[in-house]
Amino acid sequence: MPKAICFCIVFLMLSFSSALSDELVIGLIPEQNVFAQLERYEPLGKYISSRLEIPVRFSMLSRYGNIIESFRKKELNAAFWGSFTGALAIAKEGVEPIARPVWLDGSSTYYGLVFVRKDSGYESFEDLKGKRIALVDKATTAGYISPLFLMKEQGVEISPEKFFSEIIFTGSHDAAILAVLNGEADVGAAKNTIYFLESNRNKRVEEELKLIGVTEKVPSNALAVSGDFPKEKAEKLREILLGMNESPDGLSVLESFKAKKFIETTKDDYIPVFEMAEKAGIELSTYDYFNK
Amino acid sequence: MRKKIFLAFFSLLLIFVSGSLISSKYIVDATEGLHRLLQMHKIDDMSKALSLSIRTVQMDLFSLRTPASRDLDTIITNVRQMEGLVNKCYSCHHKEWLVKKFNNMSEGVRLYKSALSLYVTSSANTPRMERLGIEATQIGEALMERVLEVSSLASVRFGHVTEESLGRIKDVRLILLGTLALTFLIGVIAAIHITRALMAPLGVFIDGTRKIASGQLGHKVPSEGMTEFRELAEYFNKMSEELKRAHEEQENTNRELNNEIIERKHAEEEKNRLMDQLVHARKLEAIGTLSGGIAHEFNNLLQVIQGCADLMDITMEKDSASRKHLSTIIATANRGGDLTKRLLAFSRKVDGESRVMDLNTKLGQVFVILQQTLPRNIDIELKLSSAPATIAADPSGIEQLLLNMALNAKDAMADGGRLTLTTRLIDAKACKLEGNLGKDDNCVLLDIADNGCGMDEQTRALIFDPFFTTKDVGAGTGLGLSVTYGLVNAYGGYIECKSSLGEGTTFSIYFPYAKEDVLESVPRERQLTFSDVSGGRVLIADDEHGIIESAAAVLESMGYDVVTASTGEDAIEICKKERIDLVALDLGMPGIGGVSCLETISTLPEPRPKVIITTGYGFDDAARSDLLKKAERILQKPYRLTEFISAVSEALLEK
Repeated sequence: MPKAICFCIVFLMLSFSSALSDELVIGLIPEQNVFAQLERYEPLGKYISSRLEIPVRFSMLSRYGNIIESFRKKELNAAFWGSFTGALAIAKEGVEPIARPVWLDGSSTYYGLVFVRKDSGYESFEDLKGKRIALVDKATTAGYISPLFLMKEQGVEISPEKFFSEIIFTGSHDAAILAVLNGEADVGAAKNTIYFLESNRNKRVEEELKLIGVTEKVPSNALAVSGDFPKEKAEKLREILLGMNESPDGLSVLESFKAKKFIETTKDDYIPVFEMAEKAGIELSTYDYFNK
Repeated sequence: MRKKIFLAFFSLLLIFVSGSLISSKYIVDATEGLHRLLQMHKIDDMSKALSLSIRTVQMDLFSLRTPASRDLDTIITNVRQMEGLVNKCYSCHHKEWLVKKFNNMSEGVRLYKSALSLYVTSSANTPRMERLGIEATQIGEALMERVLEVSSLASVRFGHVTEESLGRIKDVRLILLGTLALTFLIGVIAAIHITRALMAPLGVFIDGTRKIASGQLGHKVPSEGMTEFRELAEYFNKMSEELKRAHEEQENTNRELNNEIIERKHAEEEKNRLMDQLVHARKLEAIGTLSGGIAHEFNNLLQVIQGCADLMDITMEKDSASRKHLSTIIATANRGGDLTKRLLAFSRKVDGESRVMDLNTKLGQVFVILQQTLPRNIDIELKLSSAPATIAADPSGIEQLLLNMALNAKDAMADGGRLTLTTRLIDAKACKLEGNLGKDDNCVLLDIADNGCGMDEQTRALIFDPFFTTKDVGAGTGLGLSVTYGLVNAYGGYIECKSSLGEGTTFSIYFPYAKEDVLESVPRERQLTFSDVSGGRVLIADDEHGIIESAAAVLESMGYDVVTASTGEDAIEICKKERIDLVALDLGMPGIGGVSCLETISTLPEPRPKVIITTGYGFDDAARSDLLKKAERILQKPYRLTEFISAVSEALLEK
């Protein structure tokens, strides 16, 4: 018993001394059903853990809106950012991007999809005036920024709050799809990757929904480390991820992750996001991304 | 027995093994039951944990978006724990109805997760969020109900299993106790039976062994009962017999050895006795020879004195004053003659002739004399053999012997007593005359016993020695028993003496039994008188001058013509030259001696002279008869001149 107590004390002391020395905590933004997302990421976490030789834990960030605060508050070492949140984090927190996945279709980008129910009869954005829209979060690229940018480009000049009768923030892309499927909203916007995942999982997506808009492509969710993350460790992490497709176990992990490989990602890859934000009139460093 | 022991052990083993097997089966069942019980416990724990987990998640949902809201990570962890528990429960059950229930539950969990995810990730539109929350909570409640349902099912089953297990444990306990009790019981019975079966025969064997140990060799135990003991009993009996046989053999050997030892001892004793006898006999023989020689010399001397005294008696005046002295001389010479005669008797040179006589008759005669002479306080008893106790001896010698013994007995019984004279005819085996007797010859035993003072061993050993006496000086000559000894030996007998101090003395004399015709009758000497004297030429051959002188003087005075010679050679010469009618021949002369001279004279041509032998020696019967074949008679020195003259004249008268 005294041994167990001693062990606990030592463990607690170590865990408080430095977050990184004990484990690598990686934040995840809920882009789909949180349980399904965790199941997808956990093999990757194990792989990184085995190569980096420290435990790896994922922490779910509950809301897109406060993701930067959460990152800061939880003292996370790294996170898989969405392109917009990534851009925000780079701008606000000075995080350093490392790598991002190349999807099975060979793309390393994603884009937003705007969809309606087939039986709704809506064909264009004009048909959507005064309808209810399901968006994901103000801080998502594919679930908010790019669809709105697309609409603006295609002639929806007025602010979305006035154009739509109701804006529903679902918090995740699949929830937005579900909202349209269930008739909770008339139109929805979501990330292409999640949409196709849901489409594979749920026949209703293909049977009942149709796409009415496709946005510009942005870099896929990249892993970025915090500004104070040790450089050499960051480099090591990059090496691990970039070399995954060269080992059999790495390949099997990539397969369950639904990716082909990881490719190097830098701040420069986020330039299109910054440009898009600029065009959409968003000042990233001061962007208020709280959903209302 | 062996079979019984085997049977007992086998049945014990059988009971034990079957009891153990049954018990083991029950124990296995019971442990299985316990295992199931344990599993049920786990299931129970799991259902409890599951319901707790659902409650936790529900609590998480309730508290979401309140200040007590949990971190999303915690909520996710709790949900995943819950899911894990459901999966775990599901993985254990394979019964269809249960699988269905768990499938439903899994479906419920999936829905729950979906609803939860929607709820936790929604971040705007409060009514929507509340709706999502309620939906999720309802799904959670439904799930909870299902869990409780399964849990209650598990509890019921748990109860059943518990009861069943306890029942089995009870059974095991009973069977184990039963087996132990049965094994113990049979064990005790078997032990008692085997012990009894072993102890009874063992008792018999112990008893038998004890008897053998106490010396009852050859004791047998009954051969009965169980095979092993029968066999053992047979071997035991064999052993016992063998022991007995060996013991008897040993005893026989010991007996033989003892007998041999006794025989050897007897032989040794006999040898010693014979050796003693021999030594004693030789001693007496030597003394006899010595005394015989002395007696001969004395006889010659006494003959001179006797002859001269007889001459003086003839020539001396009747009233001469010296006649008294002359009578003393003659009497002393006579006594001297007696003495030398006794010495000669001891040296077995007995003067007298043996003939067959009845000892019983002689004893009767002596008994009369003794009754008159022995004091009144001495009883004389005569125990005579029914058959005549005939022996070959000189009756006068036997008489002298009996008187000598009786007088000795009288002296030993100064305060009175009993003198017993016994004769018996005994066979040769009991007789001590082994050497002198034939196998079938009988023996006459004469016992002369008194109950007087007796003798010690030292005295007893010396009694036959001449001149040994225990009597006062002058009371005895010490020659009585010596003469007896000489006489007995002369008659071919044997004498022994048994005596113990204070109890009396017994002399036992063994004589060879004589048949009537054993001895040839010796020619009797004729009694002659002076009136028969007639003339003749007589040669006196003697080396003793005094003897020649007196003999010649008396012969010449009687009208005989006398020639003398002092050696045998001279005597033969004279006989050859002249006519000699008679030779008075001394046997102990120098030169060729009297015997050879007699021999020569007897071979002279007729008419050869007659011979009278004059001798100082004594002869035994054989020598005497030999001499008498060649001589007319033998004249024992010292003889009276009258005896000499009558002998001469008788011989000359004989044709």
